[in-house]
Amino acid sequence: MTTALKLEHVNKRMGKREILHDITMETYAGEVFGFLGPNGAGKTTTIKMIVGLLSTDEGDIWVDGYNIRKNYEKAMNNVGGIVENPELYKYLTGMQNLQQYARMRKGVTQQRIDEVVELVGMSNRIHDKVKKYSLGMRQRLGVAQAILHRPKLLILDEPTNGLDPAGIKDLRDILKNLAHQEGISVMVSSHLMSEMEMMCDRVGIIVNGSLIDVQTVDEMITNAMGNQAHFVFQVDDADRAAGLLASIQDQEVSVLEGNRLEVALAVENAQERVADINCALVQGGIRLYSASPVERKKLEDVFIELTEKEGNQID
Amino acid sequence: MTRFFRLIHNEYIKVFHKASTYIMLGLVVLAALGLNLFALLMQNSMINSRQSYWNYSEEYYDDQINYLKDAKPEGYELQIEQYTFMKEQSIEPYGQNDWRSDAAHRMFEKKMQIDHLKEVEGGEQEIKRINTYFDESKTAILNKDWKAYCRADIKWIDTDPTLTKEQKEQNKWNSQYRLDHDVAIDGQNWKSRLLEETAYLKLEVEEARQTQQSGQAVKELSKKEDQLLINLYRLDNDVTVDVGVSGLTTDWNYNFWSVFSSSTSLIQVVSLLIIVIAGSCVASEFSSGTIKFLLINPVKRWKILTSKYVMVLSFSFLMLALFYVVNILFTLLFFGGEYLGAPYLSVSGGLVHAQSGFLHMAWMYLLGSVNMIVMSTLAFAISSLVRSSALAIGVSLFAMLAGSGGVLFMKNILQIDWVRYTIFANTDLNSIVTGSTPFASQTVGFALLVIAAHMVVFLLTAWDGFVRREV
Repeated sequence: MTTALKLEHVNKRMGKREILHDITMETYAGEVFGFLGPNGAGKTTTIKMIVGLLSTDEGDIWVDGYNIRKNYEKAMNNVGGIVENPELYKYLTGMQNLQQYARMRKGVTQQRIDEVVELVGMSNRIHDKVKKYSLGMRQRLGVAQAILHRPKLLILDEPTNGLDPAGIKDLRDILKNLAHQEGISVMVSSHLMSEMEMMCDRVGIIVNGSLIDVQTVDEMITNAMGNQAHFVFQVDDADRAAGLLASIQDQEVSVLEGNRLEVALAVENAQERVADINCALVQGGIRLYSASPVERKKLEDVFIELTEKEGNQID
Repeated sequence: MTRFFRLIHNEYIKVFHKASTYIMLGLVVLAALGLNLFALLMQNSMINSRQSYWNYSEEYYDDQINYLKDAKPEGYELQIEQYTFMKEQSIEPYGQNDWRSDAAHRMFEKKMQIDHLKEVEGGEQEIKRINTYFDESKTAILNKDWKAYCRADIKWIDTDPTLTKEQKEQNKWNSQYRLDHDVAIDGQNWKSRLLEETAYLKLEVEEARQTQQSGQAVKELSKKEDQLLINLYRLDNDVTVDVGVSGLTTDWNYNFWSVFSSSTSLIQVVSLLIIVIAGSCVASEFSSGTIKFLLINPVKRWKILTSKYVMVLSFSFLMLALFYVVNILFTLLFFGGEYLGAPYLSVSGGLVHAQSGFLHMAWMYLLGSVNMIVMSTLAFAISSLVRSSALAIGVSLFAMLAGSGGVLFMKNILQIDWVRYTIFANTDLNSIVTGSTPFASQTVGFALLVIAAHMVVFLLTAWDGFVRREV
């Protein structure tokens, strides 16, 4: 795996407050890295330091092997990104905006601009003034701007902010494609666990300026669930069903609103146990409408738990 | 280097896609148009007032004569004779158009003294001299012969026993020149008018020289001497218009150069445009948030700021050139191109040099642009430090408009001499060159030094602040 971005012991203070504390991490070519943390945790600050908008107090940052302090222009030639909102020149057209950035970078031809416009699906509207664009279109143009010069590292700060579900899906596909097909290292920040789960290969969790954990999404799901899997059963009479289940097996059963039962099962034989429960309910005269696994909610809970716990330690 | 030019190209694209730029350009064109319309109005009102002043009417003389007959003041008989004579000859009462008016006044003025001279011992000679002058002048007027009038004047001076030889030469120079070069006395003729002015200036300079010989310093003597040399040059070489003394206040009859040369006072309008652009080109990137996309490019920050500053500077000179051309076009349109080849005359080493008028005006525009460059640099520096275009534009405009007035106030009212070291006392190079500043012995070199020092401070602070800025 080729390292695209490397942070070593990065610290940042603003006044007396320590914004970032000893951040050390790497991202690799061909992966989508999620940078997860609650608002104010230091995600944007870290990103701004990587793209050179903020200075580092201590520590070093390398992009594609170039130190951003010593080799700024070479390092930045390998970075593309959107920080906070995609703010473009509103009085210029989308194309004129892209041409602005093309002139500032090496080796971006008009052909490449057209190619990128096509890739982000903006061909029809590219000659309109940016002030007429929706937020989703500006986000797409921002992505086009960021990948214009074929950077090895693409950094997007909360890219799904303000996008509608279709827009989020499109963006997700574009980013996944860039990482997995073109071998770019994509770094995406977010405060939404669910989003990370669908988009990212690895996730780093930052809370109050400290990077507390870096895991693959698979690891994270396994860890979050522990050795239990949760299922929700939709029945006609939840209370009677709960009594029935309690009498036949020892398992955690809780009754939810709307005649639903949540059951926690051991991960190893969860499938079999679901079938057993199914059988028992039907035999007990309960009408069973559906049985579905719950994972996301739990993952979200784990994240909140994690961040709140850390949150109490610092500050 | 090519990439740096591309950065400047980017800045120009941004400027020329903003509506505000076009509004300001419109104002610049409007200023040039306004100047011409103003000059046109001024000229019309001046022609009207002069015409009503000159208009000859017999009633004027009748009124005067009737009044004199009633009031009978001392010497009224002679005055009645004068008015009757002027009425008969149809001479305007106070004519700058008609030499006979002045001539009639002069000859009767002299005759007035005869009564007084009769009581003075040895006055007969003088009375005879006056009578000769009176008769010769009268004949000249009756024959409408200005040459005869000039000869009478020369004879009058030559026969004056109180004058030295040099003084005689001085005094009769005007009439002698007219006879030698066939310059009729005619208020409508530029050469005749210039001759009058020059004769007066000649006497003034001579008087000043004598005062200086007696040990007293005379203010602006060398300036007057230079002007005299230039006037003589113009008379000898038939230079109708001197670009250097053209202007709406100095000219009697407006031509292309009087309007075009006063356009330098409107360079402030161009400055306004440049200050707005300089004050917003950095700050607007911050306020619109576009600074983030601008700075994450693989270009060092100082290069980005430099490209913006180079844009401001080159744009200033482009606008100045545009203003120059637009003014020429409008003035050609309204006042015609009769004297386009007119030179700018200057004196150095006792010799008069003629330079192209257009070249001189280009130089005046450049001198006038110094203030603009300094103030737009100030606006640029403030806007990159505090990220507020309103503040940058406001402060710089205030400095530009109130700066020179403030300096005058501090120097003349509060008697503070050190204001001469401030930037505001040194940006008006034009008045330093012509020596019309309130400070004694102020030189262009010193002014340039002060300007350079201030610019370096402005620019270093701006660059340092911008490169370190946490975005």
